[in-house]
Amino acid sequence: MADATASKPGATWLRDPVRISQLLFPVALLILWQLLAFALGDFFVASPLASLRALAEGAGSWLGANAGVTLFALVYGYGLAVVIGVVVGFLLGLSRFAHAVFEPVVVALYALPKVALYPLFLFAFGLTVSSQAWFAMFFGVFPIIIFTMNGTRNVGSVFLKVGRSLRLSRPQLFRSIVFPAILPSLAAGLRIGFGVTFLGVILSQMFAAKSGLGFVLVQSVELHDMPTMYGLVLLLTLFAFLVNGAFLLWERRLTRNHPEKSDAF
Amino acid sequence: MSEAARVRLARWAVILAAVAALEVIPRSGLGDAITLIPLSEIIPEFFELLVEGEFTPHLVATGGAFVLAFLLAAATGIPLGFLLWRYRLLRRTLDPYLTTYYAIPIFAFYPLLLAVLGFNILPVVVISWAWAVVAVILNTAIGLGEVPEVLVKVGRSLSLSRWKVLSRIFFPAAVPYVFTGLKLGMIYALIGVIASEFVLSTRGLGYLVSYNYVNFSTAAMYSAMFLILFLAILLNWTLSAIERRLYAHG
Repeated sequence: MADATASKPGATWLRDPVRISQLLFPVALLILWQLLAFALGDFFVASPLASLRALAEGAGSWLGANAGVTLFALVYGYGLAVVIGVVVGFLLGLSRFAHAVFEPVVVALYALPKVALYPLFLFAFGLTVSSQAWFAMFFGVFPIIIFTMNGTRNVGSVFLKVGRSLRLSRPQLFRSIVFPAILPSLAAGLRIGFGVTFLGVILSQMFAAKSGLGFVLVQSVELHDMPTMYGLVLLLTLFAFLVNGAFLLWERRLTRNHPEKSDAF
Repeated sequence: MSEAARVRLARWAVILAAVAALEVIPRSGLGDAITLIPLSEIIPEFFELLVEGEFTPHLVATGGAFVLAFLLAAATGIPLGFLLWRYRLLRRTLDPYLTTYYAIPIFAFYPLLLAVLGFNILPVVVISWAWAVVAVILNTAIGLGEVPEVLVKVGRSLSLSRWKVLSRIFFPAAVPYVFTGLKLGMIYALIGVIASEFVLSTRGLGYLVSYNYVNFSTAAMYSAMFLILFLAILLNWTLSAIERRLYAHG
């Protein structure tokens, strides 16, 4: 809806008050952060500049290796979540009966405080990246199952009939009708699943790990290293925001082609 | 048998199979006998800890933080949702940030709050409030926006005052949505409390799991996990039952 102006040249959207205030919002947060740093002092709040400096200093030493561990656990866990979530969601969505049986169960599992089950993953995989990745998968897989399942369920029977009347083969039917019909819903599941998987990685590294950004974060509490802590929080927030933004743009492009299928957040 | 009855039967079969697996898998010798304890050995431990009052202080800590975080989320989320609905520029400005909000690993802020507020109940409450409040804000704003135009026109034709239109038409019509927001807020508040207690704290049910994990008291750890899951399932189930009634009448 806010994109009506996006197709016009840049000069016009800069005059749009919504765009301007959207751009000003992070600036306002930055100013607020700076003011808090002045008001409370650097024992409690590291200034934005000090936090960036801590990150820049870390870039030569601890940051690269630990960010690498976090990124690896994230890719590993998200890969598992996507593969398992899409396959399970698709299979459950194919049958009306299976969908009716499992949907409330999956939704209930999604809403449970699963974080306290992390020791089970530590028992299974030890203090390794694998336990972080499988735990993160356990967070991220449920939204992916739910959205894929509902997307599959909602593939219009008219579309399928058209496909059959065109005598499409099964792979053709899947490629040109079923998959494009599921995609907008799947994309929303992939976006939400990513966010939750990322949260799972950070939480698991905060709880018990020897490396990773979550580990450094908790360590910086013990060392009372405020600039590193604020810098890391900024880094993690920006990363999540940017990846989610990319997913949203993709989703918007997909739903623009299928205007009847707009999924809310 | 009707379709609905078959669905219910199959669902219970799935749930029972999952519970049976908790008994069978540890006994099968597939895993490590120290870490995998059959359900039938956890349940007596659970009741023993319950009767001895081992859970009580942690239950009180978790319950207190949960209630506080939820009440704060409701008290701040509903007015903020109202403002968001009332002011179009505000809503359109914040829209991309609010849709991205739950993608941010908010718990990364928890160590920061610990450092600022100290090792007490406050960081737990603040982080859980932050996790819960946005769901309340969004659903309140959506609910007020979804009020049918017809109802608003009826109000105008009766020449009701601004306040009366709000209190007699908008608020009652938005109740189911606001309730959905409060339901999510409650679930998120509980997740927030358990997660922050588990990661780093000195009391609460989440802490009890991590404490028993660190001390190799596996049976006690499973007992605490069961208590958390039991409470969460009970909460979700109650809230969903109320929600179904609200939408049925609305």
